[in-house]
Amino acid sequence: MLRIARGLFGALRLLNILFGAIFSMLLVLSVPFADTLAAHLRAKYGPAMDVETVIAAVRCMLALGILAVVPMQVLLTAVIRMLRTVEAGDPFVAANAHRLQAIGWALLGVQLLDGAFGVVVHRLARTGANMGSGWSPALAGWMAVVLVFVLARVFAQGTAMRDELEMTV
Amino acid sequence: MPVVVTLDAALARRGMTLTELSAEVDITLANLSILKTGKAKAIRFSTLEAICQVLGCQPGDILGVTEGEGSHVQGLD
Repeated sequence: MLRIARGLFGALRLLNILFGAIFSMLLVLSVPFADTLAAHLRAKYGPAMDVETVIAAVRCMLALGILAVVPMQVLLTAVIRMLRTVEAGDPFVAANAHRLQAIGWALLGVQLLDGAFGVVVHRLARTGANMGSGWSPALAGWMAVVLVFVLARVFAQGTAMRDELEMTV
Repeated sequence: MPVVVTLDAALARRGMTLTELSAEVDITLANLSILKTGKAKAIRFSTLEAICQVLGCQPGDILGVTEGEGSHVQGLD
């Protein structure tokens, strides 16, 4: 089960890098293909569409996606390392408390980027572009940030207590 | 003020080895070694009681407090 979980997170880590590469490539291509993109948008939404704003917004979204690769990589790597300690039989080590903190900061980074994404989506929606279901704040995500920081503190305290108990006769 | 463990001296007085004490008090030899070598961070009252009952001594006979930095084990100087 743990090995499957570790494999899954390893695959997610690779996907994360892949998406970062794809977003980077699309961002770069949006420069030479800007006119093609603008023509496509005008054909879809009509000549009144503010295509410059739409293209700028799409570039922002791609940039935010690229930035998100960093905290996601931190998060996934920390989880994989924690799973390794569980497999080794002793997860209650100080390093895992630090990893939980790192996960907390990574989640906070993701939430902040998500907020910025929401601003871009809101701006984009005002141009009349079809945004599908739109964007809404991820309250569960913000709660997860707080929860993970609390868990990190609990883990650190528990590890210290366990260490003390280890040398208690 | 470091706590000094003088278990060696108490064992010598009783003519008992650490292995024999381990069997009597039902505490592992590893844990008693940790205690004897001054590496223990804490000792449970139940452990102290068991050791004192077997050795026929008081806690002060196997534990002491001295001046100076770091703990050390008497009998190894």
